[in-house]
Amino acid sequence: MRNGVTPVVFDRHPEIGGLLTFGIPEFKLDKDVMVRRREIFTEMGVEFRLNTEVGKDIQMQKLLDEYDAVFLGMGTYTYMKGGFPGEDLEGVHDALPFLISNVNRCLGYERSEEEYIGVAGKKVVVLGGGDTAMDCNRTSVRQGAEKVICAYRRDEANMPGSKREVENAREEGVEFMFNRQPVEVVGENGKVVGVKVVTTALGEPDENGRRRPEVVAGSEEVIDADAVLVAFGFRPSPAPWFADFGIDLEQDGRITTSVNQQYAFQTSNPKVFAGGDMVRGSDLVVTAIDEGRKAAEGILDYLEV
Amino acid sequence: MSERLNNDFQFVEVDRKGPVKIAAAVRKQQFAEIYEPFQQKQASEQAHRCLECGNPYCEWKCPVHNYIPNWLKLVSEGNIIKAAELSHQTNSLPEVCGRVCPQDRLCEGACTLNDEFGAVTIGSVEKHITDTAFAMGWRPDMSKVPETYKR
Repeated sequence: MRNGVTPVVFDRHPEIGGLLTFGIPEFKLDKDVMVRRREIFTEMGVEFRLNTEVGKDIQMQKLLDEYDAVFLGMGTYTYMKGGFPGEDLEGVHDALPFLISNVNRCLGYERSEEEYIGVAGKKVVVLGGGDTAMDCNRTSVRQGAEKVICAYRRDEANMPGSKREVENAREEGVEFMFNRQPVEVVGENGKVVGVKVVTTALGEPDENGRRRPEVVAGSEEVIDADAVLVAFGFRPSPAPWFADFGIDLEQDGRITTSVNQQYAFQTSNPKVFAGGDMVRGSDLVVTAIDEGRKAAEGILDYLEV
Repeated sequence: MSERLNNDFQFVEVDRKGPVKIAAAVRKQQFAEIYEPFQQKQASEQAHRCLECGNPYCEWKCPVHNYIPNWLKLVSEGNIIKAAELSHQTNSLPEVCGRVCPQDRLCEGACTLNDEFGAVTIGSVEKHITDTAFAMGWRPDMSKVPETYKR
């Protein structure tokens, strides 16, 4: 935009922002902030086509025919599983559908009552220790959960998210159980009644320097729960049509970029660029902004602007 | 323009103080942001705690390398519009980062003052700059952008 290129944004959601609007709760980012951004970007000359999913409402081929370059910033939406028994019981939910359904209700985007995942009056156990887990904790509190317990497999010092949000969650009444690793979601008649955890002690650092949790023998206990929210992070969710357009992936499903080093964030299809979580794996908002800006520079170089 | 602050010992005499947080009992009942906006005076006083340490670790730790000491100085001088322009040179959504970044692991964690005196409230100032500039009617200047006919 600032270099005279006219961008058109295709977004499957009814508002811009992706996870900023639909994933991050209002108590961290008021939704008016993104509405104001849409208005300002629109004034600057960016065109938004909302409720428009590429591959469904509009075809990628059409975009490649009509535009000089295409940037993909589609995020990572496959939920990590714990891989333990009971994850399919009634009352066990992945973090993101829970958070999205709450935002949809608050913003009036809910299409039917069944979409909403509510935990009012319930004993909630949140599994995970990152920012998404904190968002689940604090959304549960606001929905009126009877009790919210956050179980995390490392200690407090080794939590991956923002300390500020852990402190906010604690002030709002969330209880933390550190060094607890879930081994089973316990159910009765198909419904969740608790989470079986074992205590862990921190062992040697892994390849990233974070100390690896190891199980303490004989430490099993069951935490009562009527609802379990799983916030173990996200893996790539490549679209089925990537292969049709020669967009190559890494083994783990992330898009391969900067293949020939000439243009930053160019994919194996020279006209297609990509950045953010779908390239680097799930990460912070600010790293996605950084990659978006670098990819824009790559596109400008490619277009010889 | 408000008065320019000029105190070499601001970081000692003024404690790190974030914006007012709504009481937990109240905020638990609502899906709304939990921090009150900074007032201009608070923002200036907090921004002026920056040591301008010459080799700004905050800036290097920031993934988009925001010109943090430079816009902190502009805020301490009451120059919000210039600060907003500078802030937008490195970041497309500074008011979002001011709200959601884990500053304790990034800029504020790297601030020279962090260990002994408390880091500068960089995130809250970043949010204040763009929110205030927009409220004042500031918009990114697109008047000098050339037309390339590329899309």
